[in-house]
Amino acid sequence: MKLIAAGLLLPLVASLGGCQGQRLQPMLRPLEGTLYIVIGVSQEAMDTELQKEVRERTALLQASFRSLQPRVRLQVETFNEESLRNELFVRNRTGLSPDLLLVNESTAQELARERLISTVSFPAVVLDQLEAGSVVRVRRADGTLTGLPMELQPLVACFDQRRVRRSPATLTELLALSAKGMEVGLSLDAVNLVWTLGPLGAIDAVGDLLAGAPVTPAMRTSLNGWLQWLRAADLQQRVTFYPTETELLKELMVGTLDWIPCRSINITRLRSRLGRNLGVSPLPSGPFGAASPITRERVLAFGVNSSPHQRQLALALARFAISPLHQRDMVLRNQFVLPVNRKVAPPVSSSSVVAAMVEGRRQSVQSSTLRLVGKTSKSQRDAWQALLTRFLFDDLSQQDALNGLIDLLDGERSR
Amino acid sequence: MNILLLEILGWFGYLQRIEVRVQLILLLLVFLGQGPLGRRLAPRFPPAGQPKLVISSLLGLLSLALGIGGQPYGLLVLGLLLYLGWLGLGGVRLLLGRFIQPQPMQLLETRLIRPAYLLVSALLVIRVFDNPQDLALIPIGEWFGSQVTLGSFLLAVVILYVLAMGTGPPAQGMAWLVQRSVGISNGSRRALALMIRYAAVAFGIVWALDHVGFNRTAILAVAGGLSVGLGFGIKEVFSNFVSGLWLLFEGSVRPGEVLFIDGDPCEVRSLGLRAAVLWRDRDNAELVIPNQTFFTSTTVTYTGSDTLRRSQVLVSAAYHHDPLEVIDLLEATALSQNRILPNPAPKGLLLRYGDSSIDYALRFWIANPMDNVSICSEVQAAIWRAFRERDIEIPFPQQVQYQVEGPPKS
Repeated sequence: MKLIAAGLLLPLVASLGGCQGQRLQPMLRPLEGTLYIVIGVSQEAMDTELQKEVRERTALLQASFRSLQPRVRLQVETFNEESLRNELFVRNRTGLSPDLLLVNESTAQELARERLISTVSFPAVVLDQLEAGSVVRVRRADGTLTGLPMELQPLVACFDQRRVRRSPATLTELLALSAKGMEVGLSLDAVNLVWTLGPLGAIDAVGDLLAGAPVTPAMRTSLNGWLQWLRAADLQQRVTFYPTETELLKELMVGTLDWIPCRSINITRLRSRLGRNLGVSPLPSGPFGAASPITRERVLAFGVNSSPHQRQLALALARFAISPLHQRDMVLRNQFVLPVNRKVAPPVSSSSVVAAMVEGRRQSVQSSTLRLVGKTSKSQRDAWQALLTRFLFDDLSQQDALNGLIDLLDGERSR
Repeated sequence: MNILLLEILGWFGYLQRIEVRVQLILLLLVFLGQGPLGRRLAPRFPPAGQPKLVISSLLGLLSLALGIGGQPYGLLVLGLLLYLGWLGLGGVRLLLGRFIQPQPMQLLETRLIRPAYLLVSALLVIRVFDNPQDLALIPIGEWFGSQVTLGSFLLAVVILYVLAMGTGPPAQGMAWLVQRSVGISNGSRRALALMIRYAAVAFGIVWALDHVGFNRTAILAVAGGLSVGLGFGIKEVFSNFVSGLWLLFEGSVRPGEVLFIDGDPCEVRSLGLRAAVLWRDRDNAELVIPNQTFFTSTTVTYTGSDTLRRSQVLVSAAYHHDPLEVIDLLEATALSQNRILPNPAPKGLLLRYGDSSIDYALRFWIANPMDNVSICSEVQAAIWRAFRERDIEIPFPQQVQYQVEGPPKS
């Protein structure tokens, strides 16, 4: 009992000491204290290397921010983004929620809907710096924001230049190169496979179904064409479908795969292993148009338990994170994300990687369907993945897979 | 390691929040204040004298009050749940106590159940401040050519601890199964249980090193260097360990065996890594003897090939009794005793002609060497009664002293 009491007493005494110190500060004292930041990552991607990357990125932000506020410390935690809802449900009730969360825009929307994060307001002068589309997506009906857009992570093609001299420009070329020996890896995850919808002419069908349009023969034909291509790709000896992007990355790093679609943020890890042999280019197009990848938008959301002082600190950090200074820093220091600040122009001409990322971003903003797919829940994406897995394993005929896919998209719309 | 320390220090930053401070202060007040409060209220309200009830009720009520007031209350609920869980361990002890003997139960409770509960509690507390999965990935250093993370290191330590402390009952169960199917002796069963346990721990160590990701070549190189140093530094420990393993395989000093130590029969209770623990019946003492002792000195055992022991008592009878009659009587008396084996038959012997009596020995066999003293006592009492019934005299030396006058005074 005494031990428990002593354990509780020590930090309290320490905190009271801190309070006395604060009282001595002038009113306009510099900000100080610890800011708790949670970074959402996918469960299968969590490992020491990712944690190291996350810490390095945060250290960069902290170092820059400290030039303005030298007494601020950032405490970073990585969490499985899918289970963040449950985590916040517990932590908000203990008073220990994070001050800031760097999560996907769709996750922030979901958390805000359940009141697990605080919505915030920023003056127009701050928001005007950002891409209008990004701001619109985080703005709620009451004018507040679910979070502040911070960075963009487009989907690009990553390949090993020792085996692939030039990334295929079209899907036909992709299969042709695969037939000649290039090992191709594709992900069955909806968000990471949706880029193939555009080149194969199925993007509008998916968009219309998600938007609630009735099923037409033309939609069935286009979706059938997409499934047919997937089956044809799967029948290729050197095209392999994997459940997650993490596995694709690992296989590319160990040399089992030569070409994969990858999220730009993962280029850091790939480059640390493959070095100059890593090639990055836009995803291939097809007979019906350009690739249709989803660009992940990361936003800074705000926790509900922050003290007024911590909230002030969090707002200051968020403003700093979207400032041209930091946004430019992010791009120039090879963090492989795109800025949301319009004043920062990515160096397209000096870096082919940045050019590919910008092209990936451009492809993704062309279709509103991608936003609808990006907003689907994990259970819906799991159902999509299960359906395609059964189809590719010949457990479902093409007709059954088509019907299942239409039901699934139709069901998502009715939700 | 610095990252870990910074991470832990960072938890104190939550004290910037008034809601967190309030919860911690309330927890402190409940745990520290329940004593004086209970003493003051107990005369008028007897349940207040029970700390368990007071703490649980106060934590529950305060959580409710904070919840109704729209304030965070999770830390109080966590404190309440952990406290109730701790109290619940008493129930687990009572439940398991029905099936497990007191001594193993005490070991199980102190070495496995309570430490496990504390570990789970610590993880739960950490979970509200941080992400244990995230913490587990923190590198704590580079050992033997590989980076060791906090999680892999702690997991390896926990697995090893559980193997060392918790493999006893499963190993005994497996040994029991082998005994039932193959028919080995009790001593062999105990030895087998011990060997299974050592094997499990050994595999556990190999697994732990592999799990942590140590470079095996580097470990071998370091182990080679260390073994020389350790050989000089703590050679006795190694000597005892190796002796213990050898004795187990040899089967001469196994749990359940009866050895003669300083003239007393002692039963081997356990054979540890360093020493064997023997129980001495005479004074219920437990002797802790280094394994090396058995390895380097002669050991007298009564349970090597069988558990029979030949014992004997000495008795004297007067010269005027026919020795054959006395011997027959001794053998008949021995046979009348329940704990003396009829086969091999008891044997009476005339040992020698003494100064005042003829000395006899009665030799007989008993099943349990540990019962020797009590059986001898019973046999001697029976001989005394038999001699009295047959008017056989047990003489004792008689000495007549005459006072002789000294030499004439000159």
